Amino acid sequence: MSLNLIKYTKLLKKKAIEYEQKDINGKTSVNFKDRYARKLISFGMALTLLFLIKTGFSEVFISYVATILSIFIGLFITALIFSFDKFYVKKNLTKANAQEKVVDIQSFNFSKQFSFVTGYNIILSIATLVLLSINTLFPEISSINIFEYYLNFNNIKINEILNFIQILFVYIQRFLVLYWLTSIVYLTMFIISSMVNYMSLKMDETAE
Amino acid sequence: MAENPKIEFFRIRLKAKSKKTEKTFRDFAIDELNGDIDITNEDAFKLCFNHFISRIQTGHSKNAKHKKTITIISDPKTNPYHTLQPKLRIKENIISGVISGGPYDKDAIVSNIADVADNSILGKNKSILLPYYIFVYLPSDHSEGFFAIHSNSVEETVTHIVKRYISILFTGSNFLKAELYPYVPQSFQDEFKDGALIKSMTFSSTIIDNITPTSKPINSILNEYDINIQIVPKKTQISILDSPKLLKFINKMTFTKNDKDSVKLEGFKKKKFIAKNQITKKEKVFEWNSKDHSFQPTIYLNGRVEINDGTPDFKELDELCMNLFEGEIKPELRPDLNVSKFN
Repeated sequence: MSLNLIKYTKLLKKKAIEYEQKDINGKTSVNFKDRYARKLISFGMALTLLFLIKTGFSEVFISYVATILSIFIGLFITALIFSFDKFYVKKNLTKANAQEKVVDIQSFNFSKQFSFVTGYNIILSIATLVLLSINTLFPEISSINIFEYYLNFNNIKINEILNFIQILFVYIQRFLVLYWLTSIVYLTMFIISSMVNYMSLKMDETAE
Repeated sequence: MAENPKIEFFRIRLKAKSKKTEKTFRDFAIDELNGDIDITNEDAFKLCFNHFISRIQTGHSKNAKHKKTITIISDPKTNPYHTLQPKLRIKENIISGVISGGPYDKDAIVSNIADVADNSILGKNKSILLPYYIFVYLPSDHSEGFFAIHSNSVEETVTHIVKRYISILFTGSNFLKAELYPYVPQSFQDEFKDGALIKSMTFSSTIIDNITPTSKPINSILNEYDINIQIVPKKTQISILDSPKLLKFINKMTFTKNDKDSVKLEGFKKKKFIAKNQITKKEKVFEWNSKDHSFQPTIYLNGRVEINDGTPDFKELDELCMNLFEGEIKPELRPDLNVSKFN
């Protein structure tokens, strides 16, 4: 069971990242900026905020983010279920013309892209909620401020080592929360904008 | 025969009378050639092939304006290329082979080179036929086809006759005349452009000067003439990539016909330039394509296929066209080949 969970999550992540970089025609963007836009924005944003929020996330922020993420998770799971047979229905293409074949491939690609990116967004939202719950479980450790500490290599004992690991863990947790939150916002905007554009394309086709 | 045969490419776009839907060659077979509504793509192509071949197989397709004709001569005694006459590749929806074509209605004499006394009148109802290679793609599942035809020179050509023939062939109760657009694969356009400089630019047109009587008698003598204007850059080196900018500048120049009228070079029918590649030292002619609004290279067959006494090796030419078609033209022509399914 746990093995399958890791396998499926890895596959979901791999496919979501792959499809995120492709358009519905199946073409992968060759532009570095286009391919890594989400990662670059999320990394930059997370790093900046990491040094701005010195004492970690406030209770208000945690409550606010948890509410939004919960809504997102519910919304995306509903969208995933309802979109299952909406975006792509397999057709017999033996007598189809070139345009119908193009539309069929585009529908298939969008359907896959929507499913995997939305699924990945849900996983990221759940993971962010899990990481944020650490703040509520260990509020004191979570509010550590790195600027109140200094490095001294002369007198290192087990206590200092544990302290260092603790700080490192807290900062990794903060970085991941911020990185994933930015990614969730980016992917949500991507899902909505691509879905509206795809729907508009379909409307134009039926209107012809 | 001319020493430098060339090949020209054209896109064939079916034009349905109803603007709401885009009609394919399969639709044409159903609507105009009495094909069954459930006809397969292969059978629809066969109907289109029969339609294409029937008119030239059973007689001549003449053009009274150009006084040229095209046909298929199957007699092995008279046609050395009878084995290469157009054949169909059903799966690929392709027709390719050698047809015969040439001028008729001429006051020509057939004379024996060895004996000047041995001569006779050709007769106005007889034609002097030369072999021309054609390659036609009529996709059953698409509204846009393609054809390629070779020609030997400005005079030794049946390109315009075949263009007209195809255009009218795909006309019917539900279809307007098919539209044909000149086309050059992108790789031909790109292969030469790096490091190429413009050697000269030529503007050609026929001027018909319907002038009012004047005191200058020469004006009434020369009232119809061809004009060629050649512009040669002397000291400056102009890259081929700057040709649109240069054309924009030259287009504004005028040719003065008489004291009152002048014609802008923009209105000249033929615009072409010769470019020289600085690396390969090869020269190439680019002609203006008014549809694509760009200069496109003329594709000469010399160096691409074997040429014997001015006639290209048609088997090699067929191979060249097939390779070009599969590798480059088809993906540019068909939208469904530019999309791929996610795995």
